[in-house]
Amino acid sequence: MPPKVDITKCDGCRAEEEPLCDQICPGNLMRLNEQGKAECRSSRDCWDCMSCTKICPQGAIETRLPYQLGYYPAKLIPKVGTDKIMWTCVDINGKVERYVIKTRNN
Amino acid sequence: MSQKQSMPKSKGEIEVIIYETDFLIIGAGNAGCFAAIEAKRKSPDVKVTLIEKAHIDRSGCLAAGMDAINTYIKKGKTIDDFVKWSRSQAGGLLREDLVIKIAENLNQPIEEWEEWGLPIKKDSETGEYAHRGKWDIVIQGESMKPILAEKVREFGCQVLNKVVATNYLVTDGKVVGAMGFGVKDGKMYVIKAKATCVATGGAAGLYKNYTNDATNSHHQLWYCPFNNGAGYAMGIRAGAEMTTFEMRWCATRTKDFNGPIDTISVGYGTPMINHKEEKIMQKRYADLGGETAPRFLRANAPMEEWLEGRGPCYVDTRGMSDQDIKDMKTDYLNERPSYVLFLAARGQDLKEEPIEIYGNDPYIVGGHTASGYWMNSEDWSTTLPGLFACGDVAGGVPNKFVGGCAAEGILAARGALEYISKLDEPIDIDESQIEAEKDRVYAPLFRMYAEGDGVKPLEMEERMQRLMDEYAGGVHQFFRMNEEQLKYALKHIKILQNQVKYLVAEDIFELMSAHEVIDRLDVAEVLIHHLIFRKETRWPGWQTRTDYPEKNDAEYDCFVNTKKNTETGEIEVFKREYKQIVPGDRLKPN
Amino acid sequence: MSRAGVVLCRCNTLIDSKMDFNTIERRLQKHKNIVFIQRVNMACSPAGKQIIEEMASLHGIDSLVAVACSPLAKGSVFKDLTRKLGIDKNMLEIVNIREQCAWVHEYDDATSKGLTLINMGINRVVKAQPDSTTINCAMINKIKCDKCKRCLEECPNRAISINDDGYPAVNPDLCQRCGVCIGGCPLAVISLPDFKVDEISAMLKGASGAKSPFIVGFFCDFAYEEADKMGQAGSAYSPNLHIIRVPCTGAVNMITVNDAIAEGVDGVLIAGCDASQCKRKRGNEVARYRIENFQKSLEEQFLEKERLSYVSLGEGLKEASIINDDKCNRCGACQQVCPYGAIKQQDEGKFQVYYKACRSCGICAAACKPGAILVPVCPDKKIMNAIDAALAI
Repeated sequence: MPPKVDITKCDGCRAEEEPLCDQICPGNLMRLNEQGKAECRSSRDCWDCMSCTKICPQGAIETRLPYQLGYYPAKLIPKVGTDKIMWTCVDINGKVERYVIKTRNN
Repeated sequence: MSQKQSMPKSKGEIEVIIYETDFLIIGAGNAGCFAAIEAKRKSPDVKVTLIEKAHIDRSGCLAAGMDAINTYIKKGKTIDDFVKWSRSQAGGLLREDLVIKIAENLNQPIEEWEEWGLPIKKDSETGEYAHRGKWDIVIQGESMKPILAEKVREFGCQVLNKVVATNYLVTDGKVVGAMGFGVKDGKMYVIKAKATCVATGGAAGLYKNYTNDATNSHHQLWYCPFNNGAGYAMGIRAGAEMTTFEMRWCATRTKDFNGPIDTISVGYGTPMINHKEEKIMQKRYADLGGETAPRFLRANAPMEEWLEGRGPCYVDTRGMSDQDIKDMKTDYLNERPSYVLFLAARGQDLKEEPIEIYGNDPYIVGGHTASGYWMNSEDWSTTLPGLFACGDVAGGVPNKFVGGCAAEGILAARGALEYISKLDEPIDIDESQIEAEKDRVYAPLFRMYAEGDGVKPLEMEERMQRLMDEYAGGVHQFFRMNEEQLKYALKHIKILQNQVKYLVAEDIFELMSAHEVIDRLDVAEVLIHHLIFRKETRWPGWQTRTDYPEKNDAEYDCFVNTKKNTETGEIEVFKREYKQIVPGDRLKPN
Repeated sequence: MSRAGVVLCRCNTLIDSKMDFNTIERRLQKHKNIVFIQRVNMACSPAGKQIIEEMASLHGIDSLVAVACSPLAKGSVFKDLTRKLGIDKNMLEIVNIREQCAWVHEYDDATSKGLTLINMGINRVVKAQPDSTTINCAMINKIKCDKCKRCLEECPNRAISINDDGYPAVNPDLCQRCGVCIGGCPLAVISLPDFKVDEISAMLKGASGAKSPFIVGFFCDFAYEEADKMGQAGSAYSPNLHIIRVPCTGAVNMITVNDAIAEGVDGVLIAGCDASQCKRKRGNEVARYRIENFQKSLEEQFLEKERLSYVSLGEGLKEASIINDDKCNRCGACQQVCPYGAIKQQDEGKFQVYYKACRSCGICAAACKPGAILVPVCPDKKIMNAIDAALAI
C-alpha cells in the first residue's frame, strides 16, 4: 500500500484532471477520485520510487512500505528545495535521522 | 470517472491522432533523452519527437535517481582496459566492436550532465571525480532525470507523455514510425517518422519475485517494474534479430526489498558473508578472482550458499564507520530512498546487524547483460531498416549501465541522422496496418464491453510469472533449469499467447496492463528459445542448466540469436560468430 | 565567475557610527566574487556617485552590491547609477543596513548582522543572471513547467490563462506583480524580474556560519516598509532577524522554506498585512493556508511548528500617532482632519488614536495647535538627523 494520501492536505492540485502525482508516477498509478482527492489505484503495483511524495506541493503523500516487508510506523519524509532535498527518517523505535543532500549544482 | 466516460466502446469511437516527425524516439529514459538532445544539436532543423509511457521527468530506471556512474573512463585508463574489464565481467561474451565505440563516448554525456546541473563528487586533492571502484564515480543523482528532461525541452524536442507504443509502422520492410495509445486519454496515436529509435527499458516482471504476496509488494523489484520489455516485443513481432536473451540479469540484492547492493559492497569494501561468518567470495571463489570475480559469480554466490544450507547471507556492515554508514544511506537516498525507509521499518542498526542479501527475480536488460537487438556498429541500426536502438533494448553490450546507455543514445542519434539525410522519398504508409493495430490494441476493452467476462491482465501476468519462475529458472528454483522444464514453459507460454484474445480491460489503465502482459509473453517466448538452445552452463546463476552443467566452448563460444519469421510466426534460433578485436584472454580483466 | 563591486555607504556617519565597517571590510576581503570594496561618505551624493562610477569602470564589474539605506529610501539612486554604468538591472542588490540594522541593534550585533546581510546580498548577485528583456510581469519557465495550472487558480488578478500550447500565459496588462503565482508554483518555475526563487535560495546560504538562532523574515513590501519605520523610530528588535523583501506574503514559495530549513535556518517569519487587509487582494490568505500545511509537515518531521510563523504587522508591531492628553486642548481639530477616521473622542472627553486605522500620515500633528500629537515615523530627532544629512551634501 505504498502511497498513502492525507486527504485533509490533498487539494487535488485544485481539481485538475491530472494532479501532479498522477502526471509524475512512472507507473501511471495515481488518479483523482470522485471527491477530487488523489489516490493510488493499485498500491501493489507501486515501486516505492517516491516521485509522488516528492512532487506533492501539499506534502500530502506518504510512502509507506508494504507491511509484509517492514513494520509500522516507520516514516521517510522528503522535503524538496531548489537545489537540495532534506530527508527525515523515523524508525519504528522513534529514532530520527536527517539528511540534507544536494540535488543540483548552483 | 472522466477517463472511464471517454473510453471508446467501439472502433468508431476511437480518436486517432496522427503526428509526422523526422526522428521518433520511443521511450524518454536516459538513453532516449540523450538521443533526442544529440539529434537536435547536430541538426536543429530535424524534428525530434519522443513518446513516453509515463512522464519524462521521472520515467524509467532513473525515476528515484542514481548514486553512481559505473562506467567512467578515468585518467590513466584506456578503452582497451575498459573492453577487457567488461568482457571478463560478462564471462567473455560481448560485441567488442560495439563496446569500443561506446567506450569512446562514455565520458561525454556524464560531463555534460554535470554541466547541466548534476552534482558529481570531486576528489579534493586532484580535482578529478571521486572514485568508488575501478570504473565508478559517485554522483548525487536524485534529480538527474528532471535535469535531463529540462534539457530535452530546452533543445526543442517534442515530448508526448503518457503515450505507450504498441507496434512499429512498417512499409516495405522499413520502420517508418510507431503506433500506440494514450494511457490516460485512450486515444490512438500514429507517429510517422523518417527514422525511429527504440529506447525503451528491458523486461521486468517475466518471473515471479519472492516478495510477491497476495495483497501487496507485487512490484518490490530491483529493476523498474514498469519496464515490461515493450521495445523487445515490438521488435520481435516485426521480425528483428535479437541476441543473447539467455544472459539473464540475476544479481545479489538486499533481501526482502530487492534493493541494489553491488555498488555498496564494492564501494564500501564490505564483504559478503554467510551465517558461519565465512567471507563467501574469498572462501569459495578465490581462484576466480575473489571479491573481484565476474559479476555473475558474485550474483550467484549467496544463492549457492543458501542452497547448501549456509544461508542466510549478508553484506557485513558491522565494521563500517559512522561516516561510511551515513554516506551509504545518502547513496541509497539518491538511488532507492525507500531502502532507508525499509531499514527504519526493520529498526535495523547497521553497526549491529548486517544487511541481508539474496538473489532477485531474473530480468532481461541489455544495460547490464547483452540481451537485445542485434546491432550494426556502423550506425547503431538494428536489422530492421529505419530502426535504431539504444539503452536497455540494444543488445551485445553488457555493463553499459547509465553512462553506456547515454553514450549509446548519442551514437544511435548520429546513425539515425545519417539515415534521414539519405532518404529522398516521402514516407508512404500502408493504412491497413493502422486499422489492424486498432483492432488488436483495443480488443480487451471491447471484449469487456461486449462480453463482460474474460481474463484479467493481472491473472494472466501471475500465471506467466509463476510458470517462468518454476520452469525457466526463477529465483525460487535457484535459477536452475533443464530442457524438459523449459519445453513445458514454452508449451504453456504458447497457450497463454493463444489466450490473449480473452483478455478484458475495464479501463485504459487495465488496457495498458493487458498490453504489458502481451508484450511480456512475446519476450518470454523468445527467452525460452534462447535458454533451450544454449546446451551448456556459461554463466552460473544467469543461465544454469542442470542437464548441461559444464561450459562447452567448442559448440557455444558464440552468440545465440533469434528472429521471428513473420510469415510463419515461428522463432528461428541460430548462432553468430564471436569476433575478437582486443587481444588477450577474454576471461581476464588485464 | 561574477565580478561584484561592494559599496559601503557611511551615510555621513549615521551608519558607521553604529557598526564596525573595518571588521566588515576585513571579513569581506577573502570573498572570491568581490573585486573591490569601496567605502563612501554618502553614496547618494554627487561625490559619492562619482567615486562609485570610477571604481566600477576601473575594475570592470558586472554586479553591484550597495550596502546602504533601505531601497525604499534611495533605491532609485542606485538603479539610475547601475543603468549609467551599463550593469544589468538584475545585477544590483541593495543591502539595507541602515533602517534594518545599524539603527536598531547594538554596535556588535549590528556589525555581525550587517556582515551576514552583505553576504546574503552578494550571494544573490552571484546567482542572478542578466536579463535584457523588458518584460515586467510574472514569467513562466516553460522548460520546467508541467502545466498543472495552479497559478491560474491562485492568481488574484485573473491575469493567467492557458495558451494554445497548453502552457499558462501571463497577461502583462492584468498582472500586478504580486508574486502569488510564484509562491504557489509546485515546481517554482515562475519568477518576477526582481524576484526569483533561486536567488532567494542563494541568499539563504548566507545563513551558514551566522549567529544562532538564525531567523529569516520574508516581509511583504508593506511589512518591509513598516520594518523600515521601526528603524527610523529606533525601536529595537532581535538582531537574529534577517529580513528579505518579497512582493507579498503569498509570493513565498514553500520550496524556499524547505531550502531555509535544510540550510540550517532556525526559524522563518513571514510578515504581511492583517488578515483580510492584504493589499495584494488575497495573498496572505493563500500564505496562511500554505503555512498551516507546512506547519503540519514540520511536526511530522519532528520539528517544531513554530519554526514557520506568520505575523501581521498591524497586529502587534505597528505604531500609531499618540495624543498627549496633558497638552491637548480638546479642540477636536485632529478628529476633523484625519483622513482615516482614526481619531475618536472617548466618553471622558479624551481624544484617542485607534492604531489599527492610523497610517501615521502626520496631518493631525500639523493641525494640532498645542503640539500634543507625536507621529512615531518622524520624531523630531529623526527630522534633525535628516536635515544634518542634507546639509552635508
